[in-house]
Amino acid sequence: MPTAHRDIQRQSRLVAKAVYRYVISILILTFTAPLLAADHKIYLTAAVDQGVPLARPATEFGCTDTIYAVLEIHGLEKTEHSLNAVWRDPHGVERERTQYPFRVRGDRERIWVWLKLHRSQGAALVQFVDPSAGMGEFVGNWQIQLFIDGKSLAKQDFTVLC
Amino acid sequence: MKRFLWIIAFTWLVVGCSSSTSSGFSVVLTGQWIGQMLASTNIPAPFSGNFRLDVVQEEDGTISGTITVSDPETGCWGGGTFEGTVTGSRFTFTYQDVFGATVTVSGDATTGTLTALYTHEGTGQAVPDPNDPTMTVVLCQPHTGTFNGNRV
Repeated sequence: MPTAHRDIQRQSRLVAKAVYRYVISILILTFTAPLLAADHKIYLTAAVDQGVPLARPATEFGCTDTIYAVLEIHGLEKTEHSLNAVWRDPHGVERERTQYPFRVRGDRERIWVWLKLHRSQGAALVQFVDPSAGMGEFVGNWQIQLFIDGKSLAKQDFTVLC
Repeated sequence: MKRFLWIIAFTWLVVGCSSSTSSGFSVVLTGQWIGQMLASTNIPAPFSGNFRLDVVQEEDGTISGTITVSDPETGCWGGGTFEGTVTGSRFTFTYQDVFGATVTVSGDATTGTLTALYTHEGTGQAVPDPNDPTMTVVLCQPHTGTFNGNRV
């Protein structure tokens, strides 16, 4: 094959690669831009006042706490969205998945989801001897991952102690 | 020895089994309700107040929570606990308030807005002011109204 022909083939491949990368970049930007434009803050808390979690971030919780994950976000498009929270236990197993459809009304939104741990009824009989009775599998490092409209927004680690 | 092992096994089963988790989202709505009260003269009169609704969505599609309704002018108030259903973001529930009123409420947690028809079918008495038990009780006439509120 003549050298000139090989050069043309090589150049064609390079151009095709560049176009492919450009298209992929555009696609990624198109689908992530709404989230990139949104500024957000995520924290966990067990402090609550009249049903509303307070802005007192914590990373350690007791077995009997209701654990709230609060998302404060602004700049999100004023339309309907869905929040998904995946709660993973110390073994990395997905224990709960919370779905919350919501509509953005203003520039700033504050929404939250919660997790509760329940000991077995039998274990309640012996919890005065051992506070962690029946809760052993929950003790350790947990993780919550939040998704907005199916796209991962953030992960947050926390610890459950009894 | 065998008995001891049985006790150990039983204890392990009782303690170790059936622990579980639950999760969900909660919504707090506050706002005003505007309606009318059938006055003692049988002439409808404007009647309005505030309300607060704490909704907890359970994972099995059943919701529960509390609702508080207050009227600062007449001292009539209502509220109670409720249980209802939720489908997607739409929820419906009924509760009986302290005056025997049956209230059917439906709303949308997605938009954070709530509209509901409040129908109080009978008269009732407000409880005395806990700070002043000798205070005259207030008779609440039948009234209807609509809640309009937003997510906190």
